[in-house]
Amino acid sequence: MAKITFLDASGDAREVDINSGFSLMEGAIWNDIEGIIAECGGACSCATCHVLVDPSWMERVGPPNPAESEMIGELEHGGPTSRLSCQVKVSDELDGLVVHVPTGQGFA
Amino acid sequence: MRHESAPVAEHRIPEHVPTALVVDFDLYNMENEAADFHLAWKSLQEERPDDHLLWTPRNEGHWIAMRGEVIQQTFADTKTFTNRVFIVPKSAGEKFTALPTTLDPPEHGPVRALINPHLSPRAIQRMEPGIRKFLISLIEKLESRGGCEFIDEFAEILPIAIFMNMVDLPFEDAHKLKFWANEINLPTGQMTMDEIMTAFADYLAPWIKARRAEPGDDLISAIVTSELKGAPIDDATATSLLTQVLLGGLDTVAFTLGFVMLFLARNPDYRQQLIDDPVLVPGAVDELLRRFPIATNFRMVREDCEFMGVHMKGGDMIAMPTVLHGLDEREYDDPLKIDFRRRIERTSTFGNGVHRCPGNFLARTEIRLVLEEWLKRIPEFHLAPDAKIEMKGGMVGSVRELQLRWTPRGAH
Repeated sequence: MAKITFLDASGDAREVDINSGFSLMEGAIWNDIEGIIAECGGACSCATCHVLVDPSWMERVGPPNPAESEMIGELEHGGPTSRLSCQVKVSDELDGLVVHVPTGQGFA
Repeated sequence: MRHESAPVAEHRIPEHVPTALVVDFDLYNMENEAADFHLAWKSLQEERPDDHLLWTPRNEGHWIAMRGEVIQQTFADTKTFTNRVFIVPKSAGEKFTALPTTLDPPEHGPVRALINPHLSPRAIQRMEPGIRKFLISLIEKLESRGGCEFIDEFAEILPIAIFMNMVDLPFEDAHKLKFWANEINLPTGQMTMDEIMTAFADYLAPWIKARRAEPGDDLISAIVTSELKGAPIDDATATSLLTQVLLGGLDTVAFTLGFVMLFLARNPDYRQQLIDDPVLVPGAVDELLRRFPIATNFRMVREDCEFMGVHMKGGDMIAMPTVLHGLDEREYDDPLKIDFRRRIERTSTFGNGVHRCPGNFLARTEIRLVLEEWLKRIPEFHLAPDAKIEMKGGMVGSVRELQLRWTPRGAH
């Protein structure tokens, strides 16, 4: 279990508990986090579950995998700490994680 | 569906196909498929380690994408390949229209968008408590009996009941719908493609009419009341879309569950891992789907081209056996081994690209819930001592029968 904070564009925070083993995307959907769409259902193929990891957490979350990097390169609201939340597996080590939900999802 | 399996010599090898790439391989009747569907495919890859593409004259002739990389590229490349025909033999596939599957971009997107919201993670999340409740009742009924034939008594019931509930059709009808679907995926020769298409259309017609008149909150109502390009969807489009939805949702989860439970019945140590550490379950679902893909998808070459160094002719069919992606050692180390902690970045189990299975999140949710709830109630189970395991190939692979046994809790 990990406590994860999702910050929206206006800085409003939602803190939710997500069971370890699931993806960050699944946790966001289950907790009804606005702005996470996940159209492809977690296949790393639609780029609509994009989050920007708080820079202080990037080292623990780790970099995107190669397939994910390709998608991130095309994102409209991408940044140096972009991850697709369906590719981030929640673990106890991520307890306290803070991510930012971008103002829009999908490709530029 | 009728199709002939004539001796290979009777099939002409097209002139553009190099002899070195020809192999005699019938996906509807693979050597050793009964013993192990996945290894039957894998052995073809092992026999031809250097080939990216092979050609078989069987089923009117088609290419076979042999490696994960080739399968991935074929799925992704909608400029080289069209979805207009996605079934072999091609003469039968040409007669089959199912939306949005037989459409290419840019026509594909707007039609696909009609079904996506009903199968999105958000939509499935709303269904999850109901699915869980239903499958618990199914498991509890079986538990006290100390055994079951898993395919007929569980795998064929759970996903189909969930699916018939989504489309709000009577559960009793599932049997005939499945029969028609199987005639496409695992033909027995009783119906032609035209007869199958007509059967689906005749079955759906009164339902489409009824749901238009009085829409409910089911998937059929959602589709028949939707708009395409600003106009209400017409009957032909709705029929075609619903035929595809029925075809996709009826037996794929059932067949996958068969392979998953066979593996767990044979491997108590893996069951124990999931019992000891339930955190592994979501990852285990993805790993099992990597190891046991069931579908072989097809595309048709649009026009004469070079693809991965091979000359192809417009109209050629190409097979993408998703097994050969999941079991490719160039994609995954030690691919036959199951490792619930394996990092899985991409597989082709649900296809890839714009046609990727829209029901994948529902399928994964169902499999996860089965693992969670079955193992809580029936942690120890094994194959019946006289169990005969027989698998079947085709465009969708399956386990025909799975006799499981366990000691009921009341018996202790």
